[in-house]
Order: sequence, then C-alpha cells, then structure tokens
Amino acid sequence: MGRTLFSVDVGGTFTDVVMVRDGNIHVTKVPSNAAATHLPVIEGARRLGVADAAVFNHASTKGLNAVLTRSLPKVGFLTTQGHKDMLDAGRCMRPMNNQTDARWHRPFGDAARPLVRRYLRRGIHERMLATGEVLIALDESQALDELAVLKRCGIQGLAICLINSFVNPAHEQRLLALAAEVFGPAFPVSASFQVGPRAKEYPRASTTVIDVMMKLIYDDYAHLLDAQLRANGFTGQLNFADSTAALIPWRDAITAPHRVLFAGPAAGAAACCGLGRAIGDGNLIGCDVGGTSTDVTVIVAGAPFINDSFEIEHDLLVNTLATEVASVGAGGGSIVSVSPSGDLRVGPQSAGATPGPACYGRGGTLPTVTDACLAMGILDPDGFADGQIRLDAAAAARAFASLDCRMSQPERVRFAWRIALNNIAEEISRCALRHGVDTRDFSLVAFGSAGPMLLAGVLDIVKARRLIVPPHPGLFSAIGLLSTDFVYASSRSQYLLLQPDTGPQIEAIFAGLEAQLRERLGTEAAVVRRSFDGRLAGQSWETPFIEVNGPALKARGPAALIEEFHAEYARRNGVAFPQIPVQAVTWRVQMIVPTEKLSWRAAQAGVGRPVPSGQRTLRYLADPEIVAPVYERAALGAGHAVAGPALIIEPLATTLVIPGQRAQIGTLGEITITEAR
Amino acid sequence: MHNFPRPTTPTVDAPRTAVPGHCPECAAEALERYRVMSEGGWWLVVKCGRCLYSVSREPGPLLGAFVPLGAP
Repeated sequence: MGRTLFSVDVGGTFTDVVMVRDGNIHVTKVPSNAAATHLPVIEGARRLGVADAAVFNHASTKGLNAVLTRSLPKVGFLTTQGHKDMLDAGRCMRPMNNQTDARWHRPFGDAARPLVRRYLRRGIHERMLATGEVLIALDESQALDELAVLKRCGIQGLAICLINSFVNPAHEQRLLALAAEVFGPAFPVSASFQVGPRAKEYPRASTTVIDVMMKLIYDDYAHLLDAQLRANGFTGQLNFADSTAALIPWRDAITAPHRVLFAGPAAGAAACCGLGRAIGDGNLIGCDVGGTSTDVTVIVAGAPFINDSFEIEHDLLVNTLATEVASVGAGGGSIVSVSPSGDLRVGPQSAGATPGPACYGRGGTLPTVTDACLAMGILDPDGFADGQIRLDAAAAARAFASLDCRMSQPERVRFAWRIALNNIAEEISRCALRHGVDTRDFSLVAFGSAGPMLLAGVLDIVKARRLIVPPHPGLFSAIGLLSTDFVYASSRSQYLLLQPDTGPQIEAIFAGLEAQLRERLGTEAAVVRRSFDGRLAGQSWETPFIEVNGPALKARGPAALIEEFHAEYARRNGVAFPQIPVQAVTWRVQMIVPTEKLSWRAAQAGVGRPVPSGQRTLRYLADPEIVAPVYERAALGAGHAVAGPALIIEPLATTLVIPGQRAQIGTLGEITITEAR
Repeated sequence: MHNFPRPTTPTVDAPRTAVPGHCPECAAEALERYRVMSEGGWWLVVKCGRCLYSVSREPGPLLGAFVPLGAP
C-alpha cells in the first residue's frame, strides 16, 4: 500500500486538488479566490482529507498573474550609476510583428507598465570591472542617501543588481549590509549574486526584481498555507514546484521564489511525460486548453524541452530553468468578435472567470468559444463543472446574435468554433516546426477543462497520429505534480576558453557548485548532473545544457567537453565548426533526489458493448444536425470502443468524438481517438 | 540667407521653476516644474528633485524649445 500523496494547482478560475490514496485518484475543484488564495487550497485539502498525506505538492499561477496584471508590491532597485534604465530598455529587441510600428512600446517599459517606476530605480556610485577588479570603489555615503530616499518612498522590498557582480559580488554584499542597517534585518531584499550569478546584466536584473516581488507575494502565503494544512492534521512535507515542475521543499522555494513562477504550465508537461511513460508513448504534444489560452508543449522521447530562461512577456526575462511552453490566446473563454474588415475573430481577448462567457449568466454579453460549444449542443446546460455552474443557452444565442455582421446565426457559431480550432492547430504546427518534428509521428494529449471538447476537431487539421484524453483531464496539471522528483539546482557564470590546461579550473567550479547544494541537501543520496552553456569563441549567444560526463572529463580533460559541445551544436543547428575554440559561459549542477510518484493503475476491462446513457443533438457540426449518443466515461472500461459522432461525459469534462473518428478506452482508462478511415 | 547666432553656453538645459509643496512620495520640499522630452514628445512635468517622483505630467509644446520662423 503506497503513501497518500496530495497535489494542488491553483489557477485563475479554479483550484484543482488531487489526492492519491491506495493507488486511487480522488479529485476536487474549488473556485479560486484571488483575495485569499490559500483558502480554496485548504478547502480542497479538507474535502479530500489531508491528515494522512505524506506530501503536498503545490503549483500556482498567483505570482505569474500578479506580474501579468501588474498587481505588484512596491519595490526599489539599486544598480550601478548610469544603468538604472536597463529595466526600461530590456535587450532592445522588438517583436518581429512590430519592427516597423512606431507606436509600439515595450510592455514593461516606462511608457507602458514598468515593474519598478523610474524614481524607485536608483544609481549607486561604484564600478566593478569584468575581471573582478574595482574600478570605482563603492560610495557608501551616497548609497546610504539613496537607501534613505527609498525608505521615505515606502518601498516594501529591494532588488540589487550591480554591473559585473557575478564576477565579484563584494559591492552587492556591502549594499546588502547597508540595506539591513537602513530597513532592518527582516526586510525583503534580493541581490543578484545570490539569485543567480549569471552574465548579462539585464536578465540578471529582471530576475532579481521578480525574485524580491515573489518573496513578498509567496512568503506570507507559504507560511499561512503550511500552518493551516498542519491545523487540518497534515504532518507531511509541503513542496512547491519550480518552472520545470521539479519539487522543492517550501522553505527552500521561498528563498529564491522566482523559480516557482511558471510552475503551473510546467506541471501539465510533467503530467504528459508521466502518462507517456505509463502507456509507452514518448512522442507527445500536450495541449492544455484553459479558459484564456491553450498551452502547447512538445515532448520528444519522453522529455519536454527545457530552456535556461523564460519570457513572461516579450523580453521580460527570468533566468531559471523552465519547461518550454508556447501559449496562444484560444481557450474556452476566448471572445468571438468582428474585425473592422468584417471577418469573425476568436481571441486573444478572454472573458476570463468574471464575468465569464455569456452563458455563465454572470453579466457577460460577449460570445465566447464556450458559448459556441453550448449552442452546438456539445455542452450540457445542467452538467457543466460538475453541476457547479448552470449554463444559459438563451444568453449564448443572444450574445452571438449581437455580433455586428452579415452572417447567419448558424454561420457565426460554426465559424467561431472552427476558427478556435484553427488557432490551436496553428500553434501546434508552429511548435512542431520550431523543433523540426512531424506531427504525424506524435500523439496529441488533450487536457484542461476545454481540451477534450475541442481537440478532436484539431486532430483532423494537424494530422497527428492520435488524440489522447487522459483520466481527469480537467485536473491533469495537478496530477503532473505527482510525477516529478526533487531537484536542487545551482549555476554561475564564469567565462572560460576551454583549453587543455583548464581541467582543474573546471573541476573547481563544479566542486564549488556541488558543495553549495550539498549544504542544502545534507547526506541524502542524489543523482548529480553537470552541464554548461557554451559558445564558439566570438559568438554572443550560448548553446545551453551541454552535458558534462564526469569520468570523461577526468580521463580526457576539457577535450571531452569541447567534443560534446560540437556534437550538441551540430544537433541543434545542423552545422558544426570544430576548428573554432569553445568558450564556456555558465556552469550548472543539478542534484536529483527521486521521490515517490503516482503510478497509473490499470482500468477495469470493459464488459459487453458500451451502452449510451442518452443522446444529444449536435448542431452546426455538419448539415443536417446530428444526433449523437452520450456515454458516461465512468461506465466505459478498457477495450471499449465507440464510433463518432459521440459525446463521452464525466463530471468535469466533455469529450467530443466527431463523425469519422473512433474512440477507444486504453489500459489506463485514457480515451484514444483516431481517424476511423 | 539666415545668420543664426552661435551658442553662448557650453551646455543647454531646460529652466526649472520651484513649485511650492511637498513630494507625496518622499515628503521632500523640492518640487520643480520643467520640460522633458520623453515617449510621445515634450511634456511639462512637476517632479520631486530629490526622488524624481512625477507629481504631474501634461503635454508640452509640440516642438519643445524650437520656435518655427513662421510662427506668429
């Protein structure tokens, strides 16, 4: 008998809670509460009974939403004099679509919505050279003056990022001490040499600013959550997921909380990998269709693509390992509108949770994809979200009728649905193309509450091998938090041209990073993974994650690293330049501690022929209307198959099987949809 | 042909006029009104000379200090 495992994924609309006890999965969905995020988590834990849980793994979009909506605490920013506007300029890169748009503003720039207002960004008289030598000594009296100004302005936290501090952090260390004198020792401060001593000052600065903001957002929340879980009898370990969905004990997580910002989307990818391992399919494209957007992840040979940073918005960078997830503004709440030229558009604007789609009856008047699905008969007005929301079909029809265009009502609904499908299909194709993979070799995984009702239509467009609807698709991301290990990671930048005599230097860098991690980890056994980001001498962009084979490094020295680099470079770019020397920039160590994971249980075999529980008229899908049988998912067993058109319903999701498709229940209870032809 | 005068000062600057009152952010008595060039053109701003907080910001003259020859 396994231990009881808990996980929670806090989204903008719902908080998904999953419990695995004795191998059985139990789930509940609680409406999220933006004002008190912890309350729905505690409510979900109480509903399912958290007392005997060994772990409680947590992911949340709280921090990400705070940045996107700029509901951020007031923080100050100290940097080398003359550099305070790096937070306004970013990397001076424009998006491709806005190259010639004179009105374009950087979304986090001073002319738009800055994270830190300009008057709270203060220059400090000091300068460290790239060699680590001091060019201008830190002017402590000027620094104290600037700190005094920030104190009078009432900042809640402070970020410090000085030029070249990744080489020599002495000035940042001294500023930390001065800040503690001025604000007190408990005041939230993040210094870039602690957050991530990486080269390139802008991403280091933006990461440091985000880090102190996340400290202010997550610190109280994490303490409150832990205390209230314990008040409900929980005696296990509370963990936060990072941006690759790897687990971190919560007390470690809040020391560098920029790492947990992107945990929600990464958890979906982890869930796909876990399911893929269980069903023996490593080539997957995960599609998490939520209320506002669809998140697409490409998984090749059982692993998602991991990047060394991610962008919250264009060029708003966070330096942390993150699962690559592409997002397109097409979800259940995406608004259907008419463009100035008279054509129908879907998204990227969303009705969100409030007021939500028109059919929610909460004051929304604009038609959405959910309204289209209701009008088409895919959704049941009485059974939506386990009966928590009753849908108003008349309001959905009125919303479509209010569109100012010459199309008939059936055309409006049908085209809205098809445009939504095509928007998702376009993003899937783009992701596949970017990674040079052929969608015909991949299975789509449909999850998120809206995924199962939309993705069958996409299967036909992208020509994927098959569509998989996992068990509990509406809470699948939360399930992903029970599929990963504890990962302790550390990295630092040090420019080093790889030459035969640099072996001892490389060993010393890795040994230093490992010693840091060992301090946190104690004596626990862990798998150690070393890697570096390198570039050809003269390049300014690195090729990340060149694996370092410890024995090969010992036996052959830096030559082994150079060989690995050229092989990885050729794999990524299709060309190699072995005659050009290699320069290492950033060094990384990961220590992986395996933990107990969810093991998928075999579903009961289906008995006899599947029997529909009813039927529903599907409108606008084809001409004339179609009457489709409705099956309860719980009544279908492994091996059962149904031909489209059909609807397979469960409390928190509806799977549509369109005409010409065939759905079969797999060994773990997953629905596999293929073209019948 | 026009003859423009040579500059007589080594640098150019916008005149600043003191504004009575305290900065709502840092409470310093250092408010000043002056012209700045920023995104969207020229602005007339009232800022705190100590912490640089912008107290007010309104569109300034379209061409800043430049007065076209044909202007009335």
